[in-house]
Amino acid sequence: MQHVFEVVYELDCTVGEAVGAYLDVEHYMHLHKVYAPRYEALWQDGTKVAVVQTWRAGPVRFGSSCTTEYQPPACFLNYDLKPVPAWMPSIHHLIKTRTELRYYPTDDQKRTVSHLTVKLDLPWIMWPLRKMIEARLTRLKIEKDQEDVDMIARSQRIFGRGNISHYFRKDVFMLHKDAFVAHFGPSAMPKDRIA
Amino acid sequence: MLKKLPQSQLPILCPNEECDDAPDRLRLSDLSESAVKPLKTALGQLVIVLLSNGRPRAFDARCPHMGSNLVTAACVGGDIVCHWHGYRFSGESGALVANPNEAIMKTLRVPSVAFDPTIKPSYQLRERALEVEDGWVRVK
Ligand code: FES
Ligand SMILES: [Fe+2]
Repeated sequence: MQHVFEVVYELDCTVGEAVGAYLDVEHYMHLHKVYAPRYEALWQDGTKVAVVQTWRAGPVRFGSSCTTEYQPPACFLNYDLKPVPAWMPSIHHLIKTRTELRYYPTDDQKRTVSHLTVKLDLPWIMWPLRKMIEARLTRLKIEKDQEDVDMIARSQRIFGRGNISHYFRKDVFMLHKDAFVAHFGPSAMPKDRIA
Repeated sequence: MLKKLPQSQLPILCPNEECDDAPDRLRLSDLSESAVKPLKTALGQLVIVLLSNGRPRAFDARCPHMGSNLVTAACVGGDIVCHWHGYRFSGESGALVANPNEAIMKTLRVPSVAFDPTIKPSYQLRERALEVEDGWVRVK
């Protein structure tokens, strides 16, 4: 049985700033350490990256793995969510989760819409819990985005709104950087850079 | 915080106010080797660290990597650890001493048109001269 829900709100930044923050992978384990104390990339194949996020409980590390996919300029997919270690009893054995996050400018081009669609494939026995799962995932998404929004707001105060040139320095690492620079960098078409 | 604003159709996720209520003077005895202390000065917000030799050091509170406020940084083994990306700066010199992500992201850090992993960035915290008088720490 499939339960689909959306989490949609605006962010007070440009699409380039929102995408930049998303691809700025070096902050995941530090700024979001409460949610992802350890982040490991298993492999990368073009715009797909398989990652494992784990916590430590005594001698055991547990968490989940998933495949993430970037569809430039501003769409992100997450799927193939599995528990780590695989033997661990987990909700991920029962539920198949797929998310799609899209960023696009608001109608007045001043801010960015963060539009998350979550598809849950649940066994019938878990169907009555779908709203509870939805509420929990929504809360997690907002809490984590709040940290990013605070980071973006500080960057705006320092570098100016919409200024993402700090990402373009050659020593700065981010996921899918060439695609990001092609779409949001100094030589990108202006239509890709406005928000 | 999600807020509904009159001009928008959707709720908006608003940033939290940045806290800048740092004291404008500190006692040497307020400092610790395990935490940075914020200090408000005419030069802007600073962070003060206490070295293991008992001497304090002052740096601008802005991280040279991407600008985080180092008031929330951790102090580990004499280094200042920025909470945005985990870069470690020497509490002695302010120089970047380590980027822990180089090891964590090894699989992903391959050269590309826009990224060169051989470039070693030389980020440096801006140091401010301090004096200690009657047990009080002041910026010169
Ligand atoms: S902003 Fe400080 S390490 Fe990135
Ligand atoms: Fe983030």
